[in-house]
Amino acid sequence: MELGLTANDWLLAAPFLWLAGAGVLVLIWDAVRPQPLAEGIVSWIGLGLAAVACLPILEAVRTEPVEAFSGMLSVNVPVIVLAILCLGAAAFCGIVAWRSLLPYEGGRHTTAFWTLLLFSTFGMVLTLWANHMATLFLGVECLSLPLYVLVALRRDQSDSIEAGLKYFLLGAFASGFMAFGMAMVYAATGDMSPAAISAAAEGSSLGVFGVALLLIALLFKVAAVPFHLWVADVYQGAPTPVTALMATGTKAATVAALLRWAPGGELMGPQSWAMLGCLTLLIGNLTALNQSNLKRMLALSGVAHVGILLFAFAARAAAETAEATSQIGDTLGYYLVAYGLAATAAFGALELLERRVGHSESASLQGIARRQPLLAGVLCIALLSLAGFPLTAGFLAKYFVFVEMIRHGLSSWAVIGILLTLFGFAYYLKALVTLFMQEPPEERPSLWRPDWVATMALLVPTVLSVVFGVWPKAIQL
Amino acid sequence: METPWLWLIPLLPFLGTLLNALLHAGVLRRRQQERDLMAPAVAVPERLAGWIGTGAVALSFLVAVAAFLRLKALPVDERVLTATLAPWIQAGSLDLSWTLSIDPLNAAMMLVVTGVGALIHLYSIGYMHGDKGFCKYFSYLNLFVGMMLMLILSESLLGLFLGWEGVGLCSYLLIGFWYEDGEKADAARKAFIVNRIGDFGFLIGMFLLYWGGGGSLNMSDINAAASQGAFSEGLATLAGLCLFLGCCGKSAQIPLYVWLPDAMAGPTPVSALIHAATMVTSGIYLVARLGDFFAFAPGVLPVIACVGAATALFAATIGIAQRDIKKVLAYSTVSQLGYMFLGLGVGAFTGAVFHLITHAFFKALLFLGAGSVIHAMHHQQDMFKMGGLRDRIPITYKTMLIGAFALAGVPLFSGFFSKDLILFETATGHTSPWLLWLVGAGGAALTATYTGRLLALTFYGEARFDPQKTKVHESPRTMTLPLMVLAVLSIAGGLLGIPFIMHPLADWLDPVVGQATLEVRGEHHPAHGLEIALLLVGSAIAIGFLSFGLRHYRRSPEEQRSRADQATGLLRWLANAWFVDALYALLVTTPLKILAILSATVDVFFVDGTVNWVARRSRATGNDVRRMQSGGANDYALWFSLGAVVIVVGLLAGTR
Amino acid sequence: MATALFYLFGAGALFSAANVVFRRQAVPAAIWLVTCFFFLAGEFLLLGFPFLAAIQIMVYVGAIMVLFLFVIMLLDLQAHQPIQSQFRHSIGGALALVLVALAFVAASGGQALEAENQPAAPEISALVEALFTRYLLPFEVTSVVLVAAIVGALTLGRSPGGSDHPAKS
Repeated sequence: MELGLTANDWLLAAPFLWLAGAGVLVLIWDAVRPQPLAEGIVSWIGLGLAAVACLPILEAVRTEPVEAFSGMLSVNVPVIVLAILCLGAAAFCGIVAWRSLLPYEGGRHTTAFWTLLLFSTFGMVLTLWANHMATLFLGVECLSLPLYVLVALRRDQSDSIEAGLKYFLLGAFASGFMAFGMAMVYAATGDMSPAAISAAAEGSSLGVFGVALLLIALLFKVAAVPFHLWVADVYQGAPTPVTALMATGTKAATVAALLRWAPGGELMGPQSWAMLGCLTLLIGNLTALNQSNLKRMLALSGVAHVGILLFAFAARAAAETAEATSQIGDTLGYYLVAYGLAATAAFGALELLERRVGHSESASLQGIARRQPLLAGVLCIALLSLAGFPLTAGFLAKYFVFVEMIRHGLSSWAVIGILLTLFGFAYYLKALVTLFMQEPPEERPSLWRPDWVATMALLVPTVLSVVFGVWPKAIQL
Repeated sequence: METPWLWLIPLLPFLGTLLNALLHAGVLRRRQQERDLMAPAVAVPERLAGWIGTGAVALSFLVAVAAFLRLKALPVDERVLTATLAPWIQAGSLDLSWTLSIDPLNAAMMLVVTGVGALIHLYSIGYMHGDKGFCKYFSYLNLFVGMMLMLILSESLLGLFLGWEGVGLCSYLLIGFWYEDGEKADAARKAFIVNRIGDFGFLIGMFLLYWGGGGSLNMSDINAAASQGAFSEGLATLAGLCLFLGCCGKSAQIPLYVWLPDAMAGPTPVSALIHAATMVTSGIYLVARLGDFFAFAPGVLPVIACVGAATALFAATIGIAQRDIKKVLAYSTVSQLGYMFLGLGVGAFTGAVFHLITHAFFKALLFLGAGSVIHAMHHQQDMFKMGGLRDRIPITYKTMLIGAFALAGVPLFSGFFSKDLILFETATGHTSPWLLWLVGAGGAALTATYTGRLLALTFYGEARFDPQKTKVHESPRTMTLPLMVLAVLSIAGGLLGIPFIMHPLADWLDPVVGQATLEVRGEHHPAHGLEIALLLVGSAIAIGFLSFGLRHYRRSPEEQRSRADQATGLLRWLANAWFVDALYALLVTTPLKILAILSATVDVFFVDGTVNWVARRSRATGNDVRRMQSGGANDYALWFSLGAVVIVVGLLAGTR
Repeated sequence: MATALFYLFGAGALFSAANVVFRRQAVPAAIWLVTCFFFLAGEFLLLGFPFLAAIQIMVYVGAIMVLFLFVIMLLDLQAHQPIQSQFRHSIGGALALVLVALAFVAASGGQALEAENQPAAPEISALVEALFTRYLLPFEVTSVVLVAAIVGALTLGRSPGGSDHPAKS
């Protein structure tokens, strides 16, 4: 029997090999001679090498998409950029967790943390690149399983355990939908590639049913209304570095998967997508409006962002030429990068502030800008980018989506979207007022000390948010 | 020619801003830790901030010089350097690029801004020593230089507008730098609001140009479109007047000049840099840069000429009765800007830019000198309480003397050549030449008089203060060095254009404004006799009135002082700036206030009511929606199933 | 004979599944699930897929149920503590029923079920060949998923608090 791996196979396998290799190495290291720092460094190197391994792929796909493993994987430019984003988010998660999550309980979760982080990232990249339902399913599982545990890693906090359990239960529920849907699509078409989706959508009702189930599962993963309810509890309960990873990496991976696997205009028209987006945006904004906890507010604002992403799907459903479709793909990619950078910066800054005041309730973060001007500044830029303030990447991202909508004849939905977005400014500005314009409460003495490494790391997404905001082409460099 | 490193020119000051802002944050932190909010910036950050700020601008100057040399090496008709960073926004037909371009005109501006800017930064190190906002000050000042360079170097009108607003912001921040003083904060606000009126005009003008022209905001495109007659005449006139309104705001012309005298509330180096040498000249720069367009727009240039001439004379009359040394210079600035607009209006683009450059030198020198005097007198600004400073601060005295001669237009000093070029071109222009010349010459006479008055009251005669109490001392080296350099420039600046002998500036600018000049003034007819006659008249006016002012006020300062204290008749009108502020208060502010009260009522009852209702409703709805978020995983699964059924049914129904 | 057995196993599977849902104690419910898996394995056997039947028993009964028991342990449900149920939770059940009904409608409406996929029982060697060539990547990735699951289960399985890892301090 001949394995027959081609050059492309090895090219695309490289990032996976680095990630899995680093994960296994961490496990072995722990078995032989436990040493937290070494495990961290191995993991960071693994993430770094995986990112480096993405670069030759990026060069290779400049002209046309590349397939590998007899069609199991297929990559184009946006998914590679998003893969690099996921790898960056994972590295960032490790840096921020280094001083808070890892030392807890004497650091006995260090190995688990790094292994799960690496495997989850593995799953994200696989989800992004999957071109076959088997790979997609494994990717989504490989992404989710470690996250369930990472979310519940703070065993001393009931919030964390509860969040992990909820995420697990609902996630398993959704996985059932996904597997069942895939089976039905296969039964109807005999194919498991993305082409099967459109074939099934046009064929029998069995195929349509399967497509619907797959769509539901993916909508759950991206947290669209009404499948979004887990988000608030899970994001809030999870350790904040993990939340940052979920907001950036999971979001990017699953939205990109949705782009590849969701039914197109023939089954689900632009109006339906826009309606779904509008509902998600509206409910996300409404729920975020009255939150007294900043982390929960950010989690729900993430739901609102999914609403705008779904608007881009509406534009895609209305697009007629392949060129227009691929351009919307680029727009979505840009949006995900912009959102990911801002969310990483926001959750990261929140984590560092939390360490000082103890938790993320708005009341205790009042006037924190006086004490932590740099972190508050980072949070400010991140919030402005999330809100869509001009000169940030968030603004251009929203702008591009609305332009695509108007270009494809969805002007009235675009107007609704813009109004709802403006409505969303309310809670971002409220948060900024809390941070900057209120008198800080008396501070109790604490053992807090600044974490300069994490603070410097925070500046990277923050600066990029601004750079991509004034210079969007830079993303494609 | 594509020259990417041009970006360094504005980037370096921005970098300085960033570093100084970080230093300021550090100082604030230290202060908070020591619970001493009023402590001055500690020595180390202060020294560091000063040199970072100065160094950033000085480096930028060096890059600017390199760019200038590169530009000079090119053949005359290809003298444009560009640096396109990246397409910024491309939406439909709107294509905005971050492009810097350097042509001979803005190369000259760039050198003035960075060069004079660097000197003023250096000066500020001494002047601001010990101020508690030292690092913040340098951060703002760097930001200003960066924004000014964006304004000058942008190829697109939108980029220029960005810089235009940016320098306005910096001006606001720096006028109100000592914002604890309510009056100074008010002055900052006044500058900001008056400039908004102008900016409104600018914006409208910009949109008119975009819609009416080829759909481009690039200034070279607009000029090209104007030369090809792409604009309709009415639209061009309207757009030109709107843009000029913007220039009136920024460059302090009638009727929007009122903010500039009040802007003297800021630190003196700021007055020198922003409110004399650079920012206020951006209106002149804009008109010159869009020269082809303004030459085409019918009726706009005569308006500019008249407004300029009126401002030149009007502000000079006020300057003659001011007691505050900075106010004299402020009105003098307004007046000199009027000359520049007069020059633009009669088509003497080169003359206007020439005067802009020499004025930047000598007025910066005078302001810095005044700053040095104020520094020496421990923040006394009233000239009637000075006197006899000549021997006490010799370097300041000598350099200021040179600046004053240049301002008054004494022959062979730079101001003489530039001002007389403008007056000569006015006398040979198309728009009622002799009337405008008369107004200009009258203004020149007044200028010489108040310059003499300033010198006499400040430096000559007996000291009108108690030398025991007020220890007068010469300023430190960081302050006197810029004075000396600027003094040299105030003399040597004249070499840019000496009648009959050399005119390097005119040759240099010809590729940019030559076409427009030709358009307005027609073929050049040499009139040597007239030119010589006017030069002689100008010299006579300058020397005569300067010596009149010097002698009159030197002889009887006490008498003048009592007259100024009583301030009757004409003097009262002059000292109070013709009561224009009161007139504005009556005509503009009061009706606005009434309107504001009316609309506030409407606002409270209707608008606020509606807004509050919407806010309340959305909060309530938010609370309702939040109830979905019960926290029970079972409930979440229930919603999940509900959504799943809806989607499945929807999709199945869709295919039927 | 085979047809009768087929329906018998089907009924058994349904009955066991119903018991999984309606039992109020977690552990018996889990045991009923095991039963259900056995009946399904029987169905596979009757349909001519003996290998799949064996895998069903080994993987589901042997592996997946372990994970379930971990969850039950994590929940710390005592045997005598019945699961509470509320009316609105039965709405969820009703909705699920609606979905299943829809699935039947869809399946019966579609003629594809018969036409497209009626493969003969594959040779094991063919299965293996497919696993190591076309499905090589998913096959290998499965191991990563399993390792992740093991690490996760170990992490969650540890008792909270205290330090059982002497090397790290």
